[in-house]
Amino acid sequence: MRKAIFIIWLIFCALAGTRGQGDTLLIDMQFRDTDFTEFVRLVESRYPLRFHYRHDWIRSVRITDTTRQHRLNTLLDNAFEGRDVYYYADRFGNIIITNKNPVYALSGDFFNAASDLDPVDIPNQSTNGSNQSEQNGNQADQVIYINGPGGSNKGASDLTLSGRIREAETGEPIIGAVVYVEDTETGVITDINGYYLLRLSKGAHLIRYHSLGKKDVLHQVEIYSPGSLDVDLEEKISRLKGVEIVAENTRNVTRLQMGLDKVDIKTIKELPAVLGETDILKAALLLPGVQTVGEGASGFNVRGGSTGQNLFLINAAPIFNSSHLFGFFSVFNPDVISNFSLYKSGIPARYGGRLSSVFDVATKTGNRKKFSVYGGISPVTGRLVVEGPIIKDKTAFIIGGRSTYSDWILNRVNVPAIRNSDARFHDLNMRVNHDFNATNKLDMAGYYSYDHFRLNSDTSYQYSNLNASITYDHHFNDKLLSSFSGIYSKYNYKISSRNNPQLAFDMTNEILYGELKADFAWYPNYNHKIKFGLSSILYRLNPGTRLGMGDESLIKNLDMEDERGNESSIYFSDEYKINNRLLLYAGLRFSSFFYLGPKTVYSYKEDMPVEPVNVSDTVYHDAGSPIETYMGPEFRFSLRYIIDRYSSVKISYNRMRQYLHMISNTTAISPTDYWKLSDPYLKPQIGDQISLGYYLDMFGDQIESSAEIYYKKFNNIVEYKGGATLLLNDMIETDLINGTGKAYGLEIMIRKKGRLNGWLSYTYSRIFYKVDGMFPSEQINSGEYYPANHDKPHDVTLTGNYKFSRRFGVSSNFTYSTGRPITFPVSKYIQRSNVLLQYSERNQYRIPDYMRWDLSATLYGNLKSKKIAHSDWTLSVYNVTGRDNVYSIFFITQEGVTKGYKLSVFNQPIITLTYNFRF
Amino acid sequence: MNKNPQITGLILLAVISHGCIETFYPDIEEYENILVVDGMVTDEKNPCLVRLSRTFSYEDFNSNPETGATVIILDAEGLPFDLEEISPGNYYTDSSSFRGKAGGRYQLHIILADGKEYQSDYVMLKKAPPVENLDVRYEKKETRTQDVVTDGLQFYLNTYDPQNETRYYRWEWEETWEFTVPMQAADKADRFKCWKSNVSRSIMLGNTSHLTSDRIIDYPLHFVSDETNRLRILYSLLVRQYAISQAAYEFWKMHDDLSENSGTLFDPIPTKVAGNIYNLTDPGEPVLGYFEASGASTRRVFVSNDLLPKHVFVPGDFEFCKFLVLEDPPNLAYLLNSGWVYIDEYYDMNKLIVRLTNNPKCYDCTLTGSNKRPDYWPAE
Repeated sequence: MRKAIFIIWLIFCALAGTRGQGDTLLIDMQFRDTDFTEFVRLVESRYPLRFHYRHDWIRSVRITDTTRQHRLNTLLDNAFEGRDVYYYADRFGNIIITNKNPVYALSGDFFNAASDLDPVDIPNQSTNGSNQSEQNGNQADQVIYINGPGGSNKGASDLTLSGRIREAETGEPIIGAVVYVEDTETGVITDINGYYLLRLSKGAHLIRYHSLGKKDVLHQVEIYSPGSLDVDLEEKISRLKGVEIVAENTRNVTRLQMGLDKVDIKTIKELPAVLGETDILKAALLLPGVQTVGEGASGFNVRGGSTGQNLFLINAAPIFNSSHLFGFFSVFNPDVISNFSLYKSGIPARYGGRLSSVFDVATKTGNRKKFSVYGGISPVTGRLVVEGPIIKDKTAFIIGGRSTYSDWILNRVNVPAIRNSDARFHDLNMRVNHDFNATNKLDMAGYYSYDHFRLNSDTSYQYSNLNASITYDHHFNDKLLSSFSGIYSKYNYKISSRNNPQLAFDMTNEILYGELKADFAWYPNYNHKIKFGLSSILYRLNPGTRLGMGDESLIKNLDMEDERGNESSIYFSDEYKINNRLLLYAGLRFSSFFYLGPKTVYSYKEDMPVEPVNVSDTVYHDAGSPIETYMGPEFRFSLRYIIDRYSSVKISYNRMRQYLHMISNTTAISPTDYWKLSDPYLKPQIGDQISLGYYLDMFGDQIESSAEIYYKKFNNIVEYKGGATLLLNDMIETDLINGTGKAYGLEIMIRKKGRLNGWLSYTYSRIFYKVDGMFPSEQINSGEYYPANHDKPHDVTLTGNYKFSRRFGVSSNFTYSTGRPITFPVSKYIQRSNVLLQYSERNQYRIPDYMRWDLSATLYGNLKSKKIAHSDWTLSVYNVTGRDNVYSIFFITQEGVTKGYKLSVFNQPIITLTYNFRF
Repeated sequence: MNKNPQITGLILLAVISHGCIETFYPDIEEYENILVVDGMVTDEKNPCLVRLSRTFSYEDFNSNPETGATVIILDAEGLPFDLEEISPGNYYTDSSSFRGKAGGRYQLHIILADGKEYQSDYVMLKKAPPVENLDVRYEKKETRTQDVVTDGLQFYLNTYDPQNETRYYRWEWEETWEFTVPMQAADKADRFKCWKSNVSRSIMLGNTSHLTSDRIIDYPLHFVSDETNRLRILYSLLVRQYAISQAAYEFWKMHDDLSENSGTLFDPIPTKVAGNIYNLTDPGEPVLGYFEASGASTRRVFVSNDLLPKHVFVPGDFEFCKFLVLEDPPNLAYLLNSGWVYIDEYYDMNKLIVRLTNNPKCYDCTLTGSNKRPDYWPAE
C-alpha cells in the first residue's frame, strides 16, 4: 500500500485568487514543541491549507511558538532552519515542502491547468499521514521535482521521464498502463515490463497514471533534467466509497493501434462461463471479428482467417494446440493470466509468422511482497495458484496448476460407452522474475499442458504442449532499452490402440521449436519511438511415427522423415508523432525461410497433376542443405488522426507471411491435426489487410465506440483434395492444393463503462476461397469463389455487467450469429447395392442460425481486507432459454436409406456453481 | 481400430451435457441428372454386369435406367466384348465368350443412345485369396444414432494372403434364412416353410497396407440381431471377398467416410467423389461410378438356433397375425367383407371348421419369401 500519499487534490477551488497565502496568512494558534505532523493536523483543521511532504523529511521537526499570531512563513522558516528542507505555497493553499531542492519559482498557471479536471480516484486523506510512519520510497507527493532547476540541462526543452509502473500490492509490472500528460494531451503506454518513457518539455506537467482496474494516480511533476519516476497503482476495489470516478479515457480514440482488443482477466471472470470454467478464448469470441465454427470447437477465426492462422503466445512462447477436451476449454488457466491482447489488424512489426491474428497472453508475475494462495473449484476443474517472493522486492515466483476430474463425472454416467471412456487434462504455469537492479532484469516462464482421452475403451489420444522462455532485459540508458529472449516450445500427440493385440500401435507426431531473439526500443527524441530487433527460429517436425506395440502386433513400423526449417526475420519500426493530431507507425519486417535437409523430396512430371503416379524423380538432400528458400518483406503501416478530443480516424495496412501451416481437413481443429512447414510445393501463405476505423467517445467518455472496415487478401492458403490422406502420408503434397482467399467486413463496437458496463458489438464479415488449379482434381467448386467453412456473415454480441453492490454483481451475455456454411447431398446413386451420395458444390447450404443467452451472478465474500481468506461464489446459467442450437448436420446411409440428422451440444440450460478462494 | 473415436467423444460430451441428435429434414431443391456407371469384371463364372442409370434426387429411392446404350469391355489387347441389355439399364457379358482372369486389364467403353461416348481407365484384376474363416460370436451392439443396445450374432471375417499382394479388400455378403409361418393351411403344405435372402447394402473395406503381413483380423462383417426371425431356425451367410485395386479402394473409402459421418466438426468435409469414367469429348462432364476389375472368392457359413444362449427367445416376425377358427360360421360373408382372409376349411367332428386370418402372409410364406429350397441348404 502506498503510505506516503498525503494529498493530491483539493476539491474546492475556493481559494483561487488568494495568491501566495503562505506569505500572508496569519496563524492564530499556539504551539509548544509540537510534532510537525501534529502541527499540520492542527493547522489544516483550522485553515484551508494542505501540506504536501514526505514524512522522512520532517522527522524531528518541532514547532514551538507561543505568540498568538504569527505568519505561517515565519513559523516554517524557523522550523526548517538548518535543514535542507524548503517549502513553497501556492495560491490554492497548497504548502509544498521539498527536500534538497529549493524551489525558486513555479510557472504561474501551474495549478490552473489542473483545476479544470474532475476529482480523481485518490483517497482523500487530507490529513497529514501522521499515522503512516513507514515510508516505502514512493514519490507520491503531489508535486515531484525531477532534478531541481539550475541543473546541467539548462535550455533543454526536450527531457525524458522514464519509470516503471507496478501493481502496488504485488509489485508486478503493469503492462499497457497509460501515462498521460494532461497539459499536452499526449500519452504513452507501458511496455511488457511496465516501463514507460515520456518526452516532456522543461517545467511543470500534470501526469496521470491509469490502468484498467486500478486507481488513477495524478502527479504534478516539475522536470528540469531527465529523470525517472516509478509509480505503484492500487486496485480500484479499495477505493473510498462515494468518490466519483471519472477515469480519463483516452485509449479508444488516441491510441494508434487499431484492431486491437485488450481484455483484462477481471472482465472475463465476470462473464458467464460454460460449465463454470472461465475461459479467455471463449471470452475472445465475444469480441467483434472473432468467430467460431461451432459450440465447443477449438480455436477461432479472426476476420475470415482460418484457425491455423492465429499465433498463440504465452509469455512469448508459441502454443500449437490451444484446446483442452476437444475444444470445450482452452489451455489458458484463468487464474494465472494477467491479460491478453488480440491483434486483428495493424499488427506491429515485432510479430510475425501467422496470417490473421496474434493472441498474446501474459501470465502474472509473482507477488514480490508476500505469499498468497488462491484457487477455485468448478464442476470440471480444480485450480490452485501459489505466489510469493523468493527475495523480497527482488525475486518472485508464481506457480499455478489446474486439473480436471471429468473422469469422475464420466464414470457416473449410466451408458456403457461413456462409462468406459475417460478424458482428463491438466496444465501448469510457472514464472520467476528477478530484478538485478533497475536496469537489468530476468524473467523465466514455463508452461505445460496435457490432455488424454480414450473413448469406449478403444483408441486413446494424448497431446501436450511444453514451453519455456527466458528473457533478459537491459536498459542501456533512458533512450535505449533491450530485451533478449530464448524460447523453446514442444508439442506432440500420441494415438494408441491396444484393443486388438495384433493391431496394437502407437502413432506420434511432434513439433520442436527453438527461438532466439533480441528486441530493442530506442527513443531518440520526443517524436520518435523506434523499435527494432531480430529473431531466428529453428523448427524440427516429425510428421508421424507409427510403431507396432507388443510381440503380436502386425503393424508395420513407420518413421517419417523429419522436416527442418529455419525462419529468420529482422524488423524495424518507427512510431512518429508528426504533430499532436497525427501519429504514424511505419514498420518493415523482413522474413526468410529455409527448408532444410536431410530430407527426401519427390519431383513430379511437369504439366501433370501432382499425384503419386506422376513422380518423376526422388532427390535426397543432405543435412543442413537448403532445399527451398522463401523470403520477402512484410510492411506494417498505421496512421492515426485525432479529429477532436472525442474522435479520431485510423488507417492501417499490413502484410503477413506464414511458413508453418496447420494441416486440418476438418471443419474444426481436431486432435489429429498437425503442423507442416512450407516446402517446395507448399508455398508460404501471404496475407494483406487494409483497414479503416472511426473512433468516438461519447457522454463524457462513458461510452466508447468504434467502427472498423477491412479488406483482406490471402495467397497460398492450404486446401485439400477430396479424400485427402493427411496422416502418415510421405507424399502429402499430392493431397494439398494452394488457393487464394478474400475477406471483408465491418465491425462496430459500443462499450459502456461504469457500474452498468458491457459492450454491444456487431460484425458483418465474409470470407471466400478460390481453388483454381490447372487440373480438375486441383480445383474446388470448378475454380469459382466459395464461402469458407467459417463464413458467418452476421454476428451480434451484447454483454452486460451490473454491480448491485460491492459484494454482488450479475452478468449477462447474448450472442447471435448466422449459421456456418455446409455441404448437403443433392443426388443419390446406386453402386453395387449401396446407395451413394453426390454432394453439392462446397458450402452451398447453411446450418440454422445460432443464438444463446447466458447469465451469471457472483457473490463476493465480505470485503474486510484483513481476514484470512477471501472467497466468492459464481452461479452461472449457460443457454438460459435452452435453445436447441444446431452444432452440425450430417447424413447417414444405412441399409440403403439416407437420413439427415442434426446434433446439438447444449440444448438445455446448464447451471453451474463455482467457488473461488484466495488466502 | 475405431475410425473416428474423437467423434464418439464429442457425442459423449453431448450426452452428458444434455445434447442430442434428432432427425433433420433438409430443404434440398437442387438435383443433378448425371450418368452413373456401376460395373465390375470378376474372375467368377457368372456373367459380368454393367448397370447404367441416372442419379436420382435426395428425396427419391430409385434410379432411372439408361437404356439403349452400346456397352463394350476391351481387354488388354484391345479385343472388344459386347454386352447385352437384358433388362432396362442392365448390360451383361456373354459368360461363354468372356470371363475376367487374374492379371488381365480391362477398359469399359460406352456409347449412349444420344451418341455421347465414355470410357473408363484401364483396371487390373488381382486374384483374391480365400476367406480364412468367418467367426461368429454372441454380442451386444449399440446403434450409432440412438442409445439402443441389441443382442445378436456378430460375424467376424479373417483372411490371409501369404503372398502379401492383395492388400485392399472389399466384401459383400448375402444372408439367407429359413422361416415358417404361424399357420399351415390344409391344402398348402408348400406354403409353410420358406427361405428369404438379403444382400449387403453398406460399404465394407479392408486395407492391410500398414501391416507387416497381408492379414485381415476380425473384421466385423455383419451383425444379426436376435430380435428378428433370422436366427429362429437356420441361418446362412455367404461372403464374397474381392481383391480390389488401390484406386478402387480410395473410391469406396471416400464414400465410406462420407457415410460414416457422425456429426462432429472432426468429420472430413463432404466432397464430390470422382470415379474412373470420363466423357471422351467433354472431360468436364461429371460421370459418377466406378468400373472395377476384382478377383473374387466366397465362403458360406451356416448358423443354427443352437448357437444362441438358451434363454434367448427369437421372435417369429409374425406377431401381427390374428386367426379366427369358426364352427359353422353363419356370418362368413360378413367377416370376409370386413377384411378377414380365408385360409381353409375342414370337417372336425362333423362340424365345418373355417379358419380366417387378418393377413394372408400368416399362412403363405411365399408372400414374404421363396419356398424353393436353395440348393446349398442342408437336407433335413
